[in-house]
Amino acid sequence: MTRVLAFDTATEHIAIAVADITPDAIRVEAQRDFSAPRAALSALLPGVRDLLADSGIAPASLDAIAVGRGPGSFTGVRIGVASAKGLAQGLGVPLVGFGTLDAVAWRQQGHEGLVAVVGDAMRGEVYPALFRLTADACERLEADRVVRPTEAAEMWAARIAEPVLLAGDGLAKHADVFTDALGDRASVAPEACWTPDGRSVAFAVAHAAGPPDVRGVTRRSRAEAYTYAHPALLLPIYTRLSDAEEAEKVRRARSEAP
Amino acid sequence: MTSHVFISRSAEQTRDLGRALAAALRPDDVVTLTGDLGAGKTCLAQGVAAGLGVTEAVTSPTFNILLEHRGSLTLYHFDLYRLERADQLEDIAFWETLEAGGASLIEWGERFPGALPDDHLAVVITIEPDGSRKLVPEPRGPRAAGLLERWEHAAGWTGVGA
Amino acid sequence: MSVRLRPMTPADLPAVLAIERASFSAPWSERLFAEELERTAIDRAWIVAERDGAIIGYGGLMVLGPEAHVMNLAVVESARGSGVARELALELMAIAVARGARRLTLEVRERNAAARRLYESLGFTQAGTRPGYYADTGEDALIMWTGELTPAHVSAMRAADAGTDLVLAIETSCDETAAAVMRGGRELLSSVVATQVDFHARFGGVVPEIASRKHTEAIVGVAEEALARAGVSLGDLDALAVTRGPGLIGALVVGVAYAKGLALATGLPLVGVNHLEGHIFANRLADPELEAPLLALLVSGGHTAIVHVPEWGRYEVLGQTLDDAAGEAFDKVAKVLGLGYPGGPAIARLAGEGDPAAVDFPRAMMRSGDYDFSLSGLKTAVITYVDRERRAGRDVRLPDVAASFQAAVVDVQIAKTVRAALERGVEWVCLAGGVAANAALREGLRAELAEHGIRLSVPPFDLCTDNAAMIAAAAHFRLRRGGFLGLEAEATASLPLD
Repeated sequence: MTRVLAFDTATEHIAIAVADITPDAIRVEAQRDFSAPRAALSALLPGVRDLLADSGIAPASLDAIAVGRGPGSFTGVRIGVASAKGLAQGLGVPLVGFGTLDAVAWRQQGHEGLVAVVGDAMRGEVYPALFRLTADACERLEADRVVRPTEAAEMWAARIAEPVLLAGDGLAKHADVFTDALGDRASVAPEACWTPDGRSVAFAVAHAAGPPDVRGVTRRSRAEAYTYAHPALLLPIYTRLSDAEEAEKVRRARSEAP
Repeated sequence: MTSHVFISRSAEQTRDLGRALAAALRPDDVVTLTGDLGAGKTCLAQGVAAGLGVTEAVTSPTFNILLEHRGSLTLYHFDLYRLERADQLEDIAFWETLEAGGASLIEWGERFPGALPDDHLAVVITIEPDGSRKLVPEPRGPRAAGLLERWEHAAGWTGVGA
Repeated sequence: MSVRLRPMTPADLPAVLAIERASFSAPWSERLFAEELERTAIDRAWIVAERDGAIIGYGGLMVLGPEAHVMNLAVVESARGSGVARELALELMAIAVARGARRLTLEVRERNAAARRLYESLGFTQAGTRPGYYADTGEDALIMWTGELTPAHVSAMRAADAGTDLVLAIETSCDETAAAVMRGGRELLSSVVATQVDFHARFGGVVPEIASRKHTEAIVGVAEEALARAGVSLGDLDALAVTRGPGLIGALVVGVAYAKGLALATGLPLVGVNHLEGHIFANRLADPELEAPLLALLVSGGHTAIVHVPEWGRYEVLGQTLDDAAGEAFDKVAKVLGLGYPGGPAIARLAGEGDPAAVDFPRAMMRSGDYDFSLSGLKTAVITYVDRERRAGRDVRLPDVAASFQAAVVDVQIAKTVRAALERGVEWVCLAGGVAANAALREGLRAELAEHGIRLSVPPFDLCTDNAAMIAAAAHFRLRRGGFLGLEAEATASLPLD
């Protein structure tokens, strides 16, 4: 059994959970989620402290930290990851990651079938990812990337031939693009379920595939697990960064052309 | 489309144009300021800040790249002069800030044309041979066109430029 | 002879009352003290300070759950100013947090400046007033509170007083990810920047390119390296410190988030440091003779300010630039003159061959009567001059322009700094920040100050650049003053020195 403190700050809604995770079961001991637009730095760690205190969980009793690596708000992700690194290093416990969009997909538990998550990428773009949700699994069908909403919607319209549930904070700006393209195949999750909550974060952690991942942590001794999932190694998901570098390359190539 | 031009004959007139622009700004408006060193970009920004009721000194954001000023609308004052690569825009939370409900002024935005929002007002300031400053605003979308219209209207009230 | 602190007993009351009556216009009665002592097993704590067997001070406290109220504190007149009051107050704070209190409060007379300074120097801040609280004089009472404290906070403050505080400092305000370990604010045990760390050797080949701005990737490795080189572990530390501004916001948040995470995990107190005070402390590290009170002229790419430092850890910004910073003006004028980057050294070099009186550039705000600067107009004047000369077909002698521009910048800085130094009556001026490397500024200032018998401290080059050693040095005094950050602390791009 591994007692994990997990949180996600990639959207404007912070989700925190403490869960006991075994290979066969996930028990959420404590959880909380709250809106904190542009306030991850001031709100996350007080939220963690209060959740632990209110639930009588000593920080020293945690076996691992888990953090949402995005994609999402770049600053939000960076604050979550840096906070998680400090916590893990300070406690001497391993640090694992999970995808924010996976946690949004898990938030739709109870629904069975396709879930299309649309994360807000700013600049008029989105992070789209398609999942298949069953009673006890959430299979990711696409890798993280950043695209124009119309591009994601057209691709899904061509690919999807069954009912699909739309979720994600990107819908606040772009829901019409997706409902127009998908027609009566699409239904839209309630807005309150567009961001992760504590429970969905715990499920995303338990099912995230590393290495490193929580299963690998559970199999190892505490000291081995720390080296295996050292807090120095975890990185945010840089979907946008590679995109920006790509754009810069294109720009440079153009400006250097005769 | 008519070509819009403002002429400023002094730093004070440039500041007045900034005050007029402040009256025209709405949440999430983005204005880029392009011009040679000394053309008056920071001067225009100081006028905008004054128009928004900002009381603190509006200093050059060259070093910090982004300075935030609380006024009737939050003013995000960017200076991208020191950035070398577009990915460094993430370090200053560039896109998140543009959509955070304030108004953004971006100096040296032309260094990263691909990074600017599709709809923004591009203002080019040039120093004329007689020392006066010519401000040429070019709307890059319907939102910016509306902003420019309001700006010209407000500048008319204050009797500068146009 | 050292001071001994111990619990107050009824036998101490005559000596205590003598001090009480000599100290206050409305002294407590003997009966009140006796009643207080009867409650020490319940919710009160009373202590005395003894020297050579004589009682020289005392203090008392009431603990009510998470809050503790400092009820009384006095020191015999002959022992005032020797730190006894501070020792008593720190002992009361230690007792309060040991009994479970998380914050302390007290009331102080508005006109009791010494007491207010004492409590401010222990991290109490004013939270309100009780108008006319003191019946004898009708004076207002100021209500002061500390922030959240734990036993670790109070023991870190005591370690700082004793000069043994071991601090890990984190700095991510700009391009470099840096960490340092320091003892007592002076003894540097390690100072590491990301570019020095062999991440491959430390963690294997997993970590990708460590670009200078990638604080998120580098921070754990940099901190580990700093601890390893110092030969200490997190458990040995007394406190953590972090730069919380000014700087690039996206870079600052990484250091602040990470440091807060470490603090929550370890229970270590966290202090927040202003990057600018760090630059002043770089001088203190290099120059052991430097002592407050002093005046600092902070000149760098992002800042130009005159700061009065009445004592280490306290700052009063007398003036600053209203537009461009000095370093920025150098860089931009160098660009206009086609001299490349960084502009400071290029202009200084060229100016050496030119005539500083060749062009009469404006000395903005020279006679403004305050200590503010404005450099934007000077920048524009240089550009206009060069344009005009070129348009007129005249040859522009760049060394003369560089020398005249530099003189215009330096003249105003020197004049205002010297005036402020004389007005404040300081014996030391310290030049801090990257522009301190400018010889004309340094030597001009040194010569002017020498005429008035004021000494100038100039930082060595390696401490002009961003590093965590200077943050750790500043943290020592923040720690002594109880300047702790809570977990809700923010990073601030344009943090003023306070």
